[in-house]
Amino acid sequence: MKRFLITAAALALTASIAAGASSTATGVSNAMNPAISLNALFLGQWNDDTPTAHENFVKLQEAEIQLTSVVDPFWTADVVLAFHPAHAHDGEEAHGMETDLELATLTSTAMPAGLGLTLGRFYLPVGRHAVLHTHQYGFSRAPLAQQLILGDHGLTEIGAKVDATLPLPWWSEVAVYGVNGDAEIFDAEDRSPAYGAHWSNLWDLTDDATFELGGSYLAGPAARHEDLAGELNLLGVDATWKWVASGRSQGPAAEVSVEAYLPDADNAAADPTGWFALGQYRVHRDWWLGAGYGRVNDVEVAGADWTEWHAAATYAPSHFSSLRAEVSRIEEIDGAASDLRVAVQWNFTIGSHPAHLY
Amino acid sequence: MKRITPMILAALLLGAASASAGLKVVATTSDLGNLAALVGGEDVEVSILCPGDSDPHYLPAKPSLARKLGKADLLVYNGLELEVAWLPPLITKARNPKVRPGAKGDLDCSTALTEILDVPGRGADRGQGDIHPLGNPHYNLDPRAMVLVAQRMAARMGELDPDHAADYARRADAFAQAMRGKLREWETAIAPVRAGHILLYHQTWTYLVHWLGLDVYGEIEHRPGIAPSPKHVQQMVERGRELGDVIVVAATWSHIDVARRTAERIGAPLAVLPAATGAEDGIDGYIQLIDTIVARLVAAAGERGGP
Repeated sequence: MKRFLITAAALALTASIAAGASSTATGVSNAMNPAISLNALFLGQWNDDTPTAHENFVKLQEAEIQLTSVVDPFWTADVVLAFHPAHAHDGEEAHGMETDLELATLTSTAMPAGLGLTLGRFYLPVGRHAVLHTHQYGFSRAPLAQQLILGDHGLTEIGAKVDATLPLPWWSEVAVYGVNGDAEIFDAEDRSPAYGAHWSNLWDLTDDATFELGGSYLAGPAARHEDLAGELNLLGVDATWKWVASGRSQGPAAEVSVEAYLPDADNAAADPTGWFALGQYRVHRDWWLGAGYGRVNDVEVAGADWTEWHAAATYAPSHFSSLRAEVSRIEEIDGAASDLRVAVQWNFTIGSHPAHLY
Repeated sequence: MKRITPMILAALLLGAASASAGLKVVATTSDLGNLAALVGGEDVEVSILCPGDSDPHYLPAKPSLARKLGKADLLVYNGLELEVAWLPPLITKARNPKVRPGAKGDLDCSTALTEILDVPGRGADRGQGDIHPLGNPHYNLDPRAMVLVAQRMAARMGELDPDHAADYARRADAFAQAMRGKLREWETAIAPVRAGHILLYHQTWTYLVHWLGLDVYGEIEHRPGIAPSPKHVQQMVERGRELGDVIVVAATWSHIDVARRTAERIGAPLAVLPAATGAEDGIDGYIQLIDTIVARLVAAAGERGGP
């Protein structure tokens, strides 16, 4: 009888472990694991102006691992680890891969009066495009203005952000934040914090169309090159019109957005400016066509002006994979430099990936 | 003082207006919104996030919808991950603790069901398309399920607003009573359709055909959310020709052109059906919705020359 009981107990324990039900005894359970996903972007590119391996390649553009979970009754957490080719530093050629902690945020679920609080490392809300993950871009890369003015390594910072919805007849939200000030746009030697705000407003024009208008302000102690030396004050404005045909599942849709950055630095010989306009149209349930134009002035040195244009066709047979073909041209205004680029980008997402905001 | 007094009066009036509005209910779909209005009556104020003419899989998560959620006392949603692409960011954006997951104002209506169809096995993956891992979420097209949902709604509304709990229960019972009469009528009327076969565009209609006992031989969009391959469509066409007496069924928001071409190749009638209250003008209530669906299926059965 005793042997029977021991055998029965052992079988019961084995069965419960096999079912993953007995974390009390084993200390092992996946019941509270975060939602985990991975997005990988690959890019093949050919340039007519710079036939080097640096500019002509097929490579992993970026891979992001995202973890999302409820922490406790008071917080939710998001962490994004990004793997990408190493950035060049101080004129040295880059080799290998780098890993960045792109996001690590705690978002409060217990703030009073409808306020939002985010702590940790987050995208600074300067306009709409700078807060997108790379796989959300309408084109293979960020617009030139974003790369050259905000920094091509992204505008993520450690600090705190408070959001408030304003009691207006339309959707209106203000975000204010204070951060460490160590992004590329800021002076790495100056330890003064940076701060800023973003005000976004959205109107439902019809059941199918919306118009969003936003304004951004960013102030910090630094600049990353001589034209942005001294105290930096950056203004941004963004406007987006979106249309999604209701009554048609995965039917026609369109989006046009315009965004401008207007930095003002104390000691600059000429303040750079930049703007871009991007448009996308879904011509079929799986197919998007896009076009974009952008311009930056007085970037790096006074008088260095550039334009860019892009055309892209994207095939997205599901929410979880897409293939894009793109042609871009970047030209120096009143200068000799120009570059025609042909690119193919493909991406996939696996796992439980959180839904994107509008 | 002259300026301040009218402002104070206006504020008081606004406060009084909002205080008299009753329980503020936000429903994700028009069918749940219609049911909430039936159960809640004059004691609730109902807002709907996804209009009846829009596919609830793909609603854009507009911040203006979060604004509605921000004022809600009760959120009623379909569940089974129907709204997974847009409801979670809206709840986050709304920053309303009353409707956060686990709060009393958070009601997953699928918890009222006694049977969930098409629950995938352990081997389910996205190779099978945009499947719902918790099962087919389109139970709104089975009136028997909606009776259970109405009762669950009444119970939750009663918890949030005990003063009117008896009214909510009475209205849910009235809905159940009305459904009992209509169920017999619909189940009798559908008899000619049972004699033939059905080809669905999407699995939207799984609960409907299960309830009515219709014979479904396949789906055009066999992997949900993914455009059907020409080879699969050809197989469905050939099978339809073999079987004969086929009706092709698609929702108003489906890719009707694909469904129509398939129906033409089979030589079958196409029934374009409203899949939710408000999907078409004049379909303003749940009973009208099912009336319309049954009538169109019966009409299509007449076209195919069935009994």
